[in-house]
Amino acid sequence: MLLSLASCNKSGNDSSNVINFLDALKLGGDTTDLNYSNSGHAYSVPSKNLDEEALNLHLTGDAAFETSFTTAPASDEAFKLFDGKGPVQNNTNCNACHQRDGRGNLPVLEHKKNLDSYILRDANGYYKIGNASIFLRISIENDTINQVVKSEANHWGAPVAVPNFSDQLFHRGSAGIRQDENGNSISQGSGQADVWMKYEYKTITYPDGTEIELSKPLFFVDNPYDSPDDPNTYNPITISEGANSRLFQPDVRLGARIGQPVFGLGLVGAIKDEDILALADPEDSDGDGISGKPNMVFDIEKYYECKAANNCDTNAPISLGKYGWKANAPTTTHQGLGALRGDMGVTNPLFPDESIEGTDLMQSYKESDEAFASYKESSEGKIEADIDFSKAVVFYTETLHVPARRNLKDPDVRSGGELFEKVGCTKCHTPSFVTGEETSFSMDGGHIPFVENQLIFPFSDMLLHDMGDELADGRRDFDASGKEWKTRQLWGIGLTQRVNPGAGFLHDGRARTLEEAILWHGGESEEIKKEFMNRTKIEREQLIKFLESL
Amino acid sequence: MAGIVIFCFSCGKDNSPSNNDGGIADNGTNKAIIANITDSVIVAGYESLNTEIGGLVTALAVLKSDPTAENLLSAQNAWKAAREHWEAGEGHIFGPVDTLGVDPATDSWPVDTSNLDKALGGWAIGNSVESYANDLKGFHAIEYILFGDGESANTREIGSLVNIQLEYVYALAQSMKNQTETLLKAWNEEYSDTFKALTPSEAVEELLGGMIGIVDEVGNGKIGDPYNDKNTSLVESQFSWNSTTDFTNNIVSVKNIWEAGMDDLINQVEKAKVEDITSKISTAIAKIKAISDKDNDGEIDANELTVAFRNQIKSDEGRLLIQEAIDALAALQASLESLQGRI
Repeated sequence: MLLSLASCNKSGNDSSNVINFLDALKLGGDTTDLNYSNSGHAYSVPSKNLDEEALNLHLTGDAAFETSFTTAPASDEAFKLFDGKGPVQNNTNCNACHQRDGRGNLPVLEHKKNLDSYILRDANGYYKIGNASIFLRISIENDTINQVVKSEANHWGAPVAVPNFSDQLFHRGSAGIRQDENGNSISQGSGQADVWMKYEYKTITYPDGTEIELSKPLFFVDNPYDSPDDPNTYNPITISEGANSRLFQPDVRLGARIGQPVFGLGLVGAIKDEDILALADPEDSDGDGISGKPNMVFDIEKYYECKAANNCDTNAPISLGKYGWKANAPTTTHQGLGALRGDMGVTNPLFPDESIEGTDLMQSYKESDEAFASYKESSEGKIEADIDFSKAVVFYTETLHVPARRNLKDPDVRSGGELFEKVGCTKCHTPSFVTGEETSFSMDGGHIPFVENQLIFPFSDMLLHDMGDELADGRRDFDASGKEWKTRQLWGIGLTQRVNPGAGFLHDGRARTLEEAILWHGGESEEIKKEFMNRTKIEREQLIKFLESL
Repeated sequence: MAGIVIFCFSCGKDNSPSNNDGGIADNGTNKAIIANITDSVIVAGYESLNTEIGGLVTALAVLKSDPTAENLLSAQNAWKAAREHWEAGEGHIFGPVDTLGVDPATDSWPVDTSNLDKALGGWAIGNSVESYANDLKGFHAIEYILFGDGESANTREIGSLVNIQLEYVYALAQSMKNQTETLLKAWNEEYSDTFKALTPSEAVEELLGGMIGIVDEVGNGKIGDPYNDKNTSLVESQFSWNSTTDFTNNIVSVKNIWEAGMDDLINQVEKAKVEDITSKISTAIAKIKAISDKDNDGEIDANELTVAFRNQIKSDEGRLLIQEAIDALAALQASLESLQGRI
């Protein structure tokens, strides 16, 4: 197929490629519902081509996605239906981080400073991360190691969890999990530690003299459970004094992650691995300055299979990562149920253990709360979200449609699209793929026919790229170095702030506009960014208009 | 449950790819209609909400300093008065109410009763409630404390309230006041202009999405889920027995937008549907009210609380009334959805 071939042209020099994506209307193929693509509801729409049975499962998953979990075990029998949260978590429901199925936003919007009166702020201007769609990933790392020899001992290259913590910092917790020496509950709502944030700024000047100020959120850990202090203020002195916390040791890496859009994920899963791997050029052998590296990651479903067959040594549970900011999750099931257990503390069939199992915090909580300890020994305490709930919530994210393009005929949009190709954006933001046949897998092992055999326009090669020091978090994640990030899908991106007016772009939500997101590009995209910056203001605006049409 | 639950967005719509065309003209008249809906319904509603939340703060301050049965009743009434304006704004849950986290901080359901009970045993109450988890805050956390368990009665003895509970609900109300003031400010200073700058077609699509969303949520979620499961624990506002009033006000929010000019805009593209939708909105409101309106006077009175929604889902007679309300909401939803692709 012509379109398929065009999509595999990484260099993007084929003029047919330009024509194809400029004219593309239904970015999600037959999943796209043209009637629901132009408002703040545009991401929350079932795929157009679902049959009745699939639609019913999708709608069940919709309710599951909105379920606000309460702390387990519920004190009132009547509320057992909702319990499962904790004992530590980052939020209470999926929608809280993926607002209206779209991007999250930082708790304090730097461009809306006058609207943050209800955010706890200390005397030095640090904001406490409370009910926020962002959290910190944590791990320990030796700076010299960017690649590890994968084995079962290191979960085939997984980041190394911070001892006595986890690989994710849970800034919220159940009442009673943080106690003083007399067993009294302290630290209102704190989990493993508190997280505070502040902004720093820099000004970028275009060659034509136009200036633009960029803001970058900085995150600070405070009041860790192994070195507690006042939860109502962030005090840098406390950090140095509390260096006995494992979190404050120099080998600890932190990386902020904001909620991503969850539509179109089934289509991404149905892209054939070989089509993505065909775009890879990890050593930049074609010398175009762009690498493209696959992230081969731990796959928990394969792990259960190889454990059952007792052959993980010869049949390593590794798959191509397609999801997450660093492509560190291979499937929607792995990603979604991992988030259910991690972000909300709701254990499930795939992840039956609490994220902090085996830590001192978990142990002390069990010792102090008999009801919780016995609950965790019960069957309902082991699997808090059952298989039906788990299947439905994963299926929901697999079957949300991708919104249609808007303003295709606008001459500025078309010029901007051509410029998008010319300056080199399509070298990583690969416009299109054709999804495979029998390449999608639902939780029960069947296929999801609605996402297969579809011409789609995600505008991503699904690969890792070095994005430079400014975006780096210095935290390795399987094959992804501290500077590498997966190329984000751009479909639907023009509706981001219709869906959530406060949503920010990039992994920590720092970019308030698409223009700012472009200006944060560095590393192997540095030259392409310069190409953009060297264009006239009108041309730059046209390119942004093209992005807004997606 | 916080936020909009879009249960059935795909039902009953056609295939016309009209999203790029826009059937409603982009002209001054239509822009004025959108401006009127923005000012007279959305912003005016948030002003009323902010005022009534202020009343709740005052009532809880009085209750804290003078905990009498009379002051408890005043606080409960202040809660209901504020609640009315929140629910009457749920037809337009978009913009700052989402972005600023006002919706989940104000209306999270269910309440995390397990954590709340424990927290009230030891946490210090102060400005730190701002950073508490959303399911420990908002209308329903205050309701849980002010109204008791809602099983056999929606009242509680004043003597059963302890100081830390009174301090806590007061702090929560103050926090809500911060939120609603911020929400109002956000609309007045920025988002009103942003919304009015949309083309009328875009604005109508946003409004219509909000209307469909709340009709869907009330019919299939708030009413449908507990009715189908015969499960009272799913009922929102169950402690105060204010559920039927909540649901009514949700559809009143649809009516307010419709009557403020949405009907005129739709009249330009789907004239035949206007009367039908006007009628179905009225029917849906009447059928919801009828669930708990025992004396059939069109109002839900204090003496009708025994037929509160949570009790009606368990009675044969009540279930018939609830089914009629669900049917009326489904009919309204179908008519609203039929407008998609026409605007």
